[in-house]
Amino acid sequence: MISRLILRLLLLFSTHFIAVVAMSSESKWLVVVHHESALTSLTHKQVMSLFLGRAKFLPSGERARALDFPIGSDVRAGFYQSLTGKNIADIDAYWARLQYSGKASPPVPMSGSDQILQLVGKESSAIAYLPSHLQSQIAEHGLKVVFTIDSQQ
Amino acid sequence: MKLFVKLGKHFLMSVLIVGVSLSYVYANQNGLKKQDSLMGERWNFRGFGTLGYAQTDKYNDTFFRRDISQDAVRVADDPFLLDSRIGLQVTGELSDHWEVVLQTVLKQKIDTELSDYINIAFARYTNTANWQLTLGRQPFDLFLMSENRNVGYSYDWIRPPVEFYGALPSDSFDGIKISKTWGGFEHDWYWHASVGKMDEGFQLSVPTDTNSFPQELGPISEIRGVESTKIEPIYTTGVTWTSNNWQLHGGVSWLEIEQQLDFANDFSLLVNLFSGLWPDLVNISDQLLGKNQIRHFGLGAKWESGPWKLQSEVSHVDSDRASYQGQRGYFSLSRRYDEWLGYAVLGYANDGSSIEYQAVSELDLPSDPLIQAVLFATQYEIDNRLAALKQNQTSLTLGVRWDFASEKAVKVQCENYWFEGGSNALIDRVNGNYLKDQSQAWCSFAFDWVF
Repeated sequence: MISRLILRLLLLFSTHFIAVVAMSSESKWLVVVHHESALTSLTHKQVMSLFLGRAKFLPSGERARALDFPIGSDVRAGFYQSLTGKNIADIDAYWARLQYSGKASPPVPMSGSDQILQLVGKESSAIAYLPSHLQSQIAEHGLKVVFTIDSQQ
Repeated sequence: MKLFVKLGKHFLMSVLIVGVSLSYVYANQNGLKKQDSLMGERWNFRGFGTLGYAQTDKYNDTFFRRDISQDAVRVADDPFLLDSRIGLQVTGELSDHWEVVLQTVLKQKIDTELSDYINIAFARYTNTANWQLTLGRQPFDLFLMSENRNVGYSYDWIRPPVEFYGALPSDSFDGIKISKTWGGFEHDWYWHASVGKMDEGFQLSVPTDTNSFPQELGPISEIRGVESTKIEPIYTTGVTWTSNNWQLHGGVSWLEIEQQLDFANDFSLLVNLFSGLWPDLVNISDQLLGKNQIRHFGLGAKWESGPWKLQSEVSHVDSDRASYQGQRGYFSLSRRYDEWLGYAVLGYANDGSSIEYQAVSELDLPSDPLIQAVLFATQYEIDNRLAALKQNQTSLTLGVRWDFASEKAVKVQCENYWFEGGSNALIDRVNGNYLKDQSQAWCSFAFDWVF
């Protein structure tokens, strides 16, 4: 009984370890908008404000519609770690505070990169992020990159 | 019959357990739906919950509670009730300018009218210049955490520092608020002004002391009535500055408060009968039962950088009342290690509430032993009420939070409290212990999640 429990715990910790390693392997993130958007570039602080709900409008004046990867996904955790330097648990706690006081709503979680590519390609007010290995698909979906985040930033 | 009594006693606990289970199932199902949601969706249904266990009954002469809206005896009987709660929220974005929010929270409260379970119910209009007008039941913007203290997942600890937040029976008020956000991407400002009212129930921890109570009046039973606070009007204004690492907040409020204490009618009768013998009774009655003004000043600061977090708030309350005065504050330091987070919190409350009066023993009393007994009993009750309204204490909390899965965390914390004698607002003490300085330690466990 005890040995089974220990085995389960070891499995749990090893899964966490693999997830962390996989998450940290992505080195670059591309912040993307519709190719007809008036935006040409964003700064690191502007991106942070948009994805943390502190800015509700794009610098071009349009209402910002930020899109997210699924809650609990490694991609999402890696992006926010690179963007803010914070653990995803702190980001989720931050959003819980804003959301349940009725002050702001978090970026809308999508099912994955395919849905993000499609929606940003249709909506001029949408803003999202993608892992850099999807760079080749950005132009073909009608998107453009307005900021690049290195994991070291 | 005994079975029904037992079932009734644990009814709320049963509701909480069933609710927690159902909402957990809902969370798992809804998580999948949300991933398929499209941008055009304007309605959002979400929730939060906490399943907590605290050693509320560790000492049989001292019970602990989270805030003054809780029933100390029920919480001591059912330690799951101290921190456990469930909240559901519906947010509707009606247009680019109008939105509505409805939030209901089920938790242990002394006051159980249906409207008390509605924590938020407001409509908000935002214009293109970021001016906002909010109408309805809405959170106070007075403190850093007054808007989210029900949402355990949103903060590091199991409960917000009780020295600062424990004396507040409610998180929201009914009224109107105008606010404005401005600034750039580097930092922004938020200003608000509001007017409204609040009507909340709370419970005094009136000590039961069979040794001191005059035997001529017979035995006393537990005296734990439901009191109510009517606060109207409440004027507040405040400003918050937020940058990537800092959040600074300052706020002031002015309000008129009237408390309906359970012994009000009896006490008014005593004032009419004996104010000739004991003139200070009139002044005591005014300060305990009259309509009084409170002026509140608060400052808060939060700093986050990488894994480190600091958070502190202080307040000063200037009151015409015999209760809720003085200074309150806390300081918290947290450090994250991946999924783990360790924290330490110092809490402090110095309530200078008091009423100057001439003691009954110093009065020129008539020889009738019954009148003497009544006056001594009255003084005893006054001292009890004053102690039950005061909060002079310091605490040190150490704890660990483990974010073991997405939007789920478990926390374990232990806190040591140092209570000053004659200060009883958040603990329920019996057998005369309220008169003494006292030190107690409690440990708690909580599972927090949002869905």
